[in-house]
Amino acid sequence: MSARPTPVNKNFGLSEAEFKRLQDALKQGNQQLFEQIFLSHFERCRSLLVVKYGARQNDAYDVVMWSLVQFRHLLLAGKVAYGNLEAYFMRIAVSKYLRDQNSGKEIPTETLPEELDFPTHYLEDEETLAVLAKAWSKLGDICRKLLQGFYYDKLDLRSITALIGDSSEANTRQRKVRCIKELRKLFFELE
Amino acid sequence: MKAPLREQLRAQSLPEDELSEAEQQLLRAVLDEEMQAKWAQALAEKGVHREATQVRLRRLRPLLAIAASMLVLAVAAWWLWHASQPDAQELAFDEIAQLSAPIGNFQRGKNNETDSLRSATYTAYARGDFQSALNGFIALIEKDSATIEDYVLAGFCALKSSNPDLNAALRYFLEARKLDSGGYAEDIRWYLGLTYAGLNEKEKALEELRAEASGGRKAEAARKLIKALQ
Repeated sequence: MSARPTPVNKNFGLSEAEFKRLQDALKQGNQQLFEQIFLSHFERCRSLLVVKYGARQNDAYDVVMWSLVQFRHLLLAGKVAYGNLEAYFMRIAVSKYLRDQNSGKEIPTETLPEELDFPTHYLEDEETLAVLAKAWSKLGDICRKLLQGFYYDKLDLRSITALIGDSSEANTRQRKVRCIKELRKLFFELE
Repeated sequence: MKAPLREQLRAQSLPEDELSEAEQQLLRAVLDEEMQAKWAQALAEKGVHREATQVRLRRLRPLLAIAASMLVLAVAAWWLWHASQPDAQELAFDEIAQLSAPIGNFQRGKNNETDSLRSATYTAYARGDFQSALNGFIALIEKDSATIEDYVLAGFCALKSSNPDLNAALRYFLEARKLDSGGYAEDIRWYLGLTYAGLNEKEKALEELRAEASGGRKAEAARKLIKALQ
């Protein structure tokens, strides 16, 4: 006789308090816990796509990886509630997989998580993306941390100031302007 | 034609203190890629790869099949080459079997038929009864009246008898060499070469056969044996 699933094993082994701690850590720019928990479940999620949906190993890998990135964004945006995290995560992954498999075909809208509304209409220009990636790699470490904190991890100003070890939030604000200028300079001047 | 996004952005007046919506999307995509690369590395360290081991093995299968085929071919080629190489011992026994009785032109010294034992021995030898002849030669040797011809023929009979005794033949040929003043040198060399090869004493056989190969009457056969011995 199988045991009735508890909230913990429906939530990647996290209790509600641990889930809250994970969210707080992410909001402070610390994603160690997120990686520790979700990467340890990676293979299981991939296997589910392979076994249940007949996905190929590498397709399933890409989908789970993509879903993890999206899930992290959703966690940071506060759009994920504790309850059945695994089902929610797999819904994202399965939707993505089905969408990829049926690209160009009509997909019933109920299979797509409505929360995934991150804009993507500027991302088709791969050449521009490659130039930005190169510019980003040339940017100084402090500016990278700062801009990632602002635009990717959605951290508040105080957390970013602490993260980069700045003396004040006003300084961080000024530094942000300089970092944006530096990134644009690299982005526009690269051949 | 629509200009690349970078050119469009360059032409725009962008806010100094914020990234534009387009820039933010691009940066987010770059950082998504960076994060995925980092996680992929962490997963790989835990043994989780984009392609499962079986898939990677499956991909390697054609290469493994080629390698296995090459190995099989190499083994087969080696086996064929090895099988085609004559065995030195077998070759030596073939040569011994083909040795013809050295009557007449072999007996280069004095006339040995001076007593009855020797006479009977040579009669047996002449009719190809090598075992009886060998017994006669052994009796002559034991009586201490054997000549170099007796020793050479004793060795020959030991090789050609129905129950060849290569060790005995070797002893007789070596004794004959001690007594020889040069008249039987070439015959003794060839017989010793064959006997050593038959006993699988390669180095000694090669020494005798190399001498024979360089201008002896059996030079060609000696070269064949040398090749098989090497």
